[in-house]
Amino acid sequence: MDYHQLVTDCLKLKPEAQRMLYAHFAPSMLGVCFRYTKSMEDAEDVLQDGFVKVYKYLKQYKAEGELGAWIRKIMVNTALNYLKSNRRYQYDLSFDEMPLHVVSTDNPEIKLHAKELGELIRQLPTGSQTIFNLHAVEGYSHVEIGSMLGISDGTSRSQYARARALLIEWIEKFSLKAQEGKYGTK
Amino acid sequence: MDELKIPPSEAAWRNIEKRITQKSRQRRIAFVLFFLALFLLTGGYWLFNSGKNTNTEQNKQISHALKNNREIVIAKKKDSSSIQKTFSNKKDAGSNENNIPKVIFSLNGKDSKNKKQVVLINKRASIISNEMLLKAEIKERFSSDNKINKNPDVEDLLNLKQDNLLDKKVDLAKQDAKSNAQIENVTLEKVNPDSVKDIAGLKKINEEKDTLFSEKSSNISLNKKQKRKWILGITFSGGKSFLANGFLDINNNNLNYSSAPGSVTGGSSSSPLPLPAKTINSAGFIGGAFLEKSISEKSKISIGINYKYFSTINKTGSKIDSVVIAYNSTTYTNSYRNNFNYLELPVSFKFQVTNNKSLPVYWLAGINISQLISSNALQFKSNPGVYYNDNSLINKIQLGFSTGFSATLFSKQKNPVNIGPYFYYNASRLANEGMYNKKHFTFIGISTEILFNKK
Repeated sequence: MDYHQLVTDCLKLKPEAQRMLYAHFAPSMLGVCFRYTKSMEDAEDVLQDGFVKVYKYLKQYKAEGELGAWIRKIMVNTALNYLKSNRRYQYDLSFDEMPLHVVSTDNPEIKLHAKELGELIRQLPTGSQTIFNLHAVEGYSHVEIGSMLGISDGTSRSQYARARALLIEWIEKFSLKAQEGKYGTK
Repeated sequence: MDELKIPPSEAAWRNIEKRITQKSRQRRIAFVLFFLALFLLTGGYWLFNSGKNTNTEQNKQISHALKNNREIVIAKKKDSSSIQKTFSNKKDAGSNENNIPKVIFSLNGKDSKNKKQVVLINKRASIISNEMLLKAEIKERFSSDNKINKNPDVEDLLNLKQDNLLDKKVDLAKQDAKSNAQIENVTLEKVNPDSVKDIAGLKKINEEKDTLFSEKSSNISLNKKQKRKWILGITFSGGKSFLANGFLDINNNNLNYSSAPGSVTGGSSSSPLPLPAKTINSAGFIGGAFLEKSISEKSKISIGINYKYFSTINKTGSKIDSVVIAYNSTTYTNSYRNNFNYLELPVSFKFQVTNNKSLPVYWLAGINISQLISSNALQFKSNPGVYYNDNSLINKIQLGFSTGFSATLFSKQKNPVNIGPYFYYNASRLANEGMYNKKHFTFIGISTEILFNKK
């Protein structure tokens, strides 16, 4: 797909081009939004807000970078703003220090589908979920996450560790269940 | 994780499409409105001026010449009163009916329609006779020393008399113009043969007067052009900004939280959802520079550029996190000021409503187009009851109307000051959704303008 032409046509406010841009990127971007929220409705709300911003600020996009990465960044920022402005998430978006559960740090050799892993991530408390997404998936450093969320990088690190530990615990349980199901043990 | 792709619902695209087309439509409408207003104002101004110039240019020159002449006559009367006394005796004694040209017009037949024209012509002839008499007297008085043209006293007197005659001639000229065609039918019946020669001489005097008259007229129009130059000024208006549902509804400041995005129910008192606190109207001011120009004796047009600041206050709860978001609480511990900063392009007309020249009072009417530069205004979500900032909900371009009165202090000084009450109403909606849905700003204050005249 010729992204340059697509962007040019979108800037000329051509409806077909706008629709094409949306159709091309919406599924993957909804996957991004899905990981940051707790329900599909919220994810779609974020997606809508995000795409409105994409069309609004498209003239600021420089063709040097990848278009998908630029849109993804907007989606992530929109999702973070959504979490901050939505009180339902405010209760969970506290970054207080919490004691971590001691679990095995061994990496389970279990292969999960992306959607299954995404579901597990969404089960995390919102604060840990957000930091895990930003660090493990988006690749932001803890310092960057700290400045984005207005917390210290130490808090970000501990929240990430907590998220990771919880995920490992759940994956182990998940694999155990899967094995039980496979071999028919009760 | 990148492989996680979820196809969104069809409704999601419909909502996005609706929002983006709405924004582009708003922008287009604002653009069209701006140019329409500009076109109307320019067209109106041009029509106003061109119509006046073509129809009344001649009348203006005549009226100004008359006015000017009257002033000259009054000024010169004092200086020449002594000279007039000297001539009065001579005039009485030396007036001889044979030497005075008598020009008498009458109708050839009994055509009563042309009676008025005959009267006019007779009046004109009488004035010409007086003029000749005066000239003859002057010649007689000063023939011995042969200094008629060089003596300043004589020139003054001559000018004085000529000015008086000019007044009368101008009045007659007005009436003559209406009936020139009819006058052609009138024949000269009785003319003193001696006067024919004098009338030829008078033509020369008339030509000189015409030259003088046209010079005066051109001077007058030049002065007028100078008066109609664009004058720079600065303005400042301080007062209170009101947020309301409509025109003059300044006490109704309950914001429309029921239609805020994310709200579940309306704003009824029985709602379990939190409600936003009452919004308090607060200070506002407008400041900038403008150019003003007289378009007629009693009206002016001005265009300018202003910075406009309006504000309201919300009682909110404590701030959440480090981001500028506050949530509603029952205690309303914080006062949050919602600032609206605009750049404004005002075009206004001023009409003088009093005849007092030392303290003229103007009525002002204008149209203003403004663009939102920045705002920190809060929006409210009733579920879960959070204040947050989202400027995308606010309409950026606003069309407003202004009116007021201003009295001009120091009107004859280099820097006159206009001061008076000022009223502004935003005809455009502040927003089409959210907390400011269908709200309009109103501003009431005192306006001050300082003009920088070049003298």
